Amino acid sequence: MIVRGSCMVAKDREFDPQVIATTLMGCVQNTLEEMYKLKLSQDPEFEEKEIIEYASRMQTFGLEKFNGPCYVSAINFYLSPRHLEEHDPVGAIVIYIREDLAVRFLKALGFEDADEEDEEIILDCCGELANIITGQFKNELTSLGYKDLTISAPIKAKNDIPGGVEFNYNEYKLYELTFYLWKEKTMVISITMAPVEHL
Amino acid sequence: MKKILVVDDSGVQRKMIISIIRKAGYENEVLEAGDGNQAIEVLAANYQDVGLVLCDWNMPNMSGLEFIQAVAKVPAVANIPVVMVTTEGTEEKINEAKAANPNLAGYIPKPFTPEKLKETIQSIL
Repeated sequence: MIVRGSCMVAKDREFDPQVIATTLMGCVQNTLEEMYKLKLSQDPEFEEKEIIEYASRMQTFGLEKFNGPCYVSAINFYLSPRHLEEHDPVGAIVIYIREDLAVRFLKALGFEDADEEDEEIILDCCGELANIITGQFKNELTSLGYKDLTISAPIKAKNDIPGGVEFNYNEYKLYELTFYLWKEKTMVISITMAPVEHL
Repeated sequence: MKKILVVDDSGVQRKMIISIIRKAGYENEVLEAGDGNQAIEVLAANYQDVGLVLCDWNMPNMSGLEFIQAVAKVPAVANIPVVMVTTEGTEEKINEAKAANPNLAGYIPKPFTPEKLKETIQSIL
């Protein structure tokens, strides 16, 4: 049950977390290790969580991910461009990057313009990184036989996405993957997806 | 020397592409556009000088696909080589892009290495 005007947890419902988690994990690991030669310090951590919803949007709570500031970028998945126009998403992905490691991480990914003095550029880089990860993930889903999804432009902000992120209202769970680089918790990715047609 | 038009809604991505072009030793003037509509305006003003278009797919206002489709319909610019640089990397999307613009000269899925972009540019310019 969702009560407008209050912040509460939506009720439980099952989806196949393995497809989402393993596919996303594989895409990110492949991007970091194969493309950019970045070695993960340990295997990514996987956690299933409940979506915290307020005013029909999923809340991000970036400050809780690292117990400190971070950069957040979010992208939505839609079944078609029409669904995008109608703001009717099938899923959402939110990427959190720890603030004090963001420039080191982004430079390692080839974003040479990332500069600790310029938050706007860091946010742009985070948005582009979200675009790359999301694109790889959706391409991988397509290669697994799922419908090709439409993605939104990235939203990006410091610490939290103001007002939250669109999500599929039938979903109650999100899956959270945590990635460690340089022996530090560097990036957290949350994803929620409603079932997508398998062609 | 022919100009290169880089079309991407991400300013960071445009800068990254331009940086790779420069590091590869190309001194061609680089033009920029943030979406398909801007790209049409830039191309209309420079169509005789542009020798390569590097174009993202997902952009606001006018997508890369709509842009390359529009380019293919105008004889004055239809033969300009277009390379898609995009996260849309499925076979279906590549075929869609080829159908939209038969002169599609290349397709670079993101993320890409600087070498991949250099090789593609080298094969065209």
